[in-house]
Amino acid sequence: MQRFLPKALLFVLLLAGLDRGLGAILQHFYSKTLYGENWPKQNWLLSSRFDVVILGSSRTFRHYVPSIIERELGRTVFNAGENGQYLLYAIALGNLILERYAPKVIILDMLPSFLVELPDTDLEWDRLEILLPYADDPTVSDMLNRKSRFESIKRLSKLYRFNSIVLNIADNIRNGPQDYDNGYVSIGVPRFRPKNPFILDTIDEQFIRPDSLKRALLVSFIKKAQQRGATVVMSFSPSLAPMSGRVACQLDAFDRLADELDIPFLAIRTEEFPEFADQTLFMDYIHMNAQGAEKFSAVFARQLAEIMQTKPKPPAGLSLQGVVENK
Amino acid sequence: MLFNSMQFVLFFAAVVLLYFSLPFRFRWILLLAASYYFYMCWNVKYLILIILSTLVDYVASRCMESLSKPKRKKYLFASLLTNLGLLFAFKYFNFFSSSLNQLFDSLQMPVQIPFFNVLLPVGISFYTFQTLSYTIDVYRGKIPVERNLGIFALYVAFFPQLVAGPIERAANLLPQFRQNNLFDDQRVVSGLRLILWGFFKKLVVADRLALYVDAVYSNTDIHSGLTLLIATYFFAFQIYCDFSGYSDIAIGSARVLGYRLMTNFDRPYFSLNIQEFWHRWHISLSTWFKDYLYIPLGGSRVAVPRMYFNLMTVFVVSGLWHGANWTFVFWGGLHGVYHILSRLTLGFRDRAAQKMHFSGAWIRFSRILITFHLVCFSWIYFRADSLQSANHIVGKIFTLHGKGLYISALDQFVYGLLAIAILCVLDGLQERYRLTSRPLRFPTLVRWCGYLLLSVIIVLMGVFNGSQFIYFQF
Repeated sequence: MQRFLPKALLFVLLLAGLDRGLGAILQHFYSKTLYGENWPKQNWLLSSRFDVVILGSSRTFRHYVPSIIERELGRTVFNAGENGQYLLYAIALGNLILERYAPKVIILDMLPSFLVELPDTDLEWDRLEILLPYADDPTVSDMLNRKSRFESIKRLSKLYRFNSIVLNIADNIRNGPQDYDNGYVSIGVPRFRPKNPFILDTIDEQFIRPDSLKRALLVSFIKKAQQRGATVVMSFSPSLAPMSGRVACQLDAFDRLADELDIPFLAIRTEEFPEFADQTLFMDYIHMNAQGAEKFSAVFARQLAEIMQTKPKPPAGLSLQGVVENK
Repeated sequence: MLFNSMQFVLFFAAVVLLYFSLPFRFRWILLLAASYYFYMCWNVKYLILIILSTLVDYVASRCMESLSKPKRKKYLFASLLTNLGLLFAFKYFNFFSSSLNQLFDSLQMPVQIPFFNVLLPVGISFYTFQTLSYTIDVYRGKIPVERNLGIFALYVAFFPQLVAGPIERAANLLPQFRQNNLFDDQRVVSGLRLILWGFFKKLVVADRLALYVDAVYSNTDIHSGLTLLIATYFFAFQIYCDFSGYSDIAIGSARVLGYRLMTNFDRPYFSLNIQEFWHRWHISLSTWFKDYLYIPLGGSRVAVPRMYFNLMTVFVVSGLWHGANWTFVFWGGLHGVYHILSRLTLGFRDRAAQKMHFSGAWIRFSRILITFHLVCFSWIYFRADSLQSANHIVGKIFTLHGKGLYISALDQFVYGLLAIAILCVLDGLQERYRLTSRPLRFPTLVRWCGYLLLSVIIVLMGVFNGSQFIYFQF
């Protein structure tokens, strides 16, 4: 024991030193990265200021073309949607932005499954790891700590924050910034593939449960943004997936939430905008291709401009309830 | 509580500290409490099954103690019935129900056997076999009866090997609980080294490769033959590192506490033939089947056709042990066929190698390669959801159906390849030194650099989202 303890202590100290040293080097290189293929875009977003920030999932990423929206609004726009991410990421990233500045408009592009428990409850929390390099920020560490009580111990390691992204950092720095449209990447017009329904439609009805924690986090984020002077808009973009009762029910819930918080809900659904019920605009049931994204962004930008000119309430015919009443 | 979780790291550190602080006579109580707590972290209710199994085998063995062998039979029977009955009810009932229902459907018989809506208790196959080996050994008079119920309960539930083995024999483990283990620097370091290596195998290799394998095997229709081939190679490394990684952490944890568990994996992909593969893969299970099934069936001291029947029986049962699905039965059967063919063609293969004037190294290399590919082929049936799906995959691989190689994210693919490369180099080095019978020793500085590097690789390349070990489902 007498020989073991000093050796073990020395090993732990060496490991800690290595961890800090390599962690600092990786932090340095990470801070130099810009958006690239397979690379999260938060570093780019957080190192600049944008008037309009759009938060959300892969649908957000694929549907909102910042340059088109910018032309309509005359303001800078950033698409912060991320593949494979859900509401928790949008909230965490939104909080990170609010720590730095308050955009004029924050758009929350909603997925029908945003306020329900997902079948794999850990998945959404696990994917917050994308924000580990920002773990020193209290808003991020607060979100990461909610995953489990041991998360804060893992984050004692500086290297852990760069888990699985070392090759990406090297690749990003080697290739340099690429020609992307403020967070949006055009994927061209690939052939339509009949896959990817809404997650909500794949869950057995009896297992669909509202997630009160996610709702509370969302409400808290929206109120915080409003306090900082940002206009928050909830939105929903078209899909080819048939509007099931489950999805419609969630859109109703978003509409009620928007009313409760006095914010607009811009739901541009295929049912009310039949020009989007066209397979040539989609790559699968829920993701549009570049052609669809450009068409949608133009419509969305006009509606958003109207909202910004009038005030928080959406113009008649745009929210789910409004559309139904109008007809 | 998974080995690859922060919860286990803290739990284990606390157990080690308490263990070496307590007087010897209280240590078994600590280990038993820790083992039950470890199991309860999965499901409190299923602890009842372990306790039931423990009590039945304890009582049966105590009853057998003073009896002659013929009179012991009824107690052995009671133990077998309880343990195998529980295993059948929780693991195989639904499989047999669905298989029989399908049969009745095809015969147009209006009979429906109901299903049993329960979760499979974690590690039930492991602790059932472990406790059965004790009762059978007591029945055979090979080991003395353990009279201390607490120590016997600890033998059944010892936490390092409770949920995924190695399946320990009472003759090896029980006496160790009566030894006063002092803190031994070298033993502790050796245990920690094994734990580190186990974490590398599990977090860096197995879980990284699982991301690719799961993506491909869950959508076999859309992937090309080449992609399915790569995914199958990846699965071969995934399952090896998943299970042997668990075994390494289990053996290492026990070693830190002063207990010697049996070796479970001995670099099986370096095997020259299928027989050798089974001497190096899941050793605790293959020796269990040899001792408690193959030899009682007559082993190899019977006529050749009967010996082949015995072999097939062992492998089919071994397949069924791995899972309640026809894919596992087929996988076991396939290995049985390999085994028999290997024995039948041994002379022919030796003569062919001599005629071709291959050097020893080439013969060795080609044998390793052939054995590895035979094993990979069988993994397709092990991993696929159904026999139809497995056949579909085999068809696509052999016709190289479709074009292109699926790579969801290049970095993930590269991490996987890097992890396999590191594993092959380190396993290869150990294998080389094993063949030359020289212990693999490096200077202290090199060893320390190696440990530090491995730790950094685990933190940077490991997958930390708490994925399950594959063998827990068995």
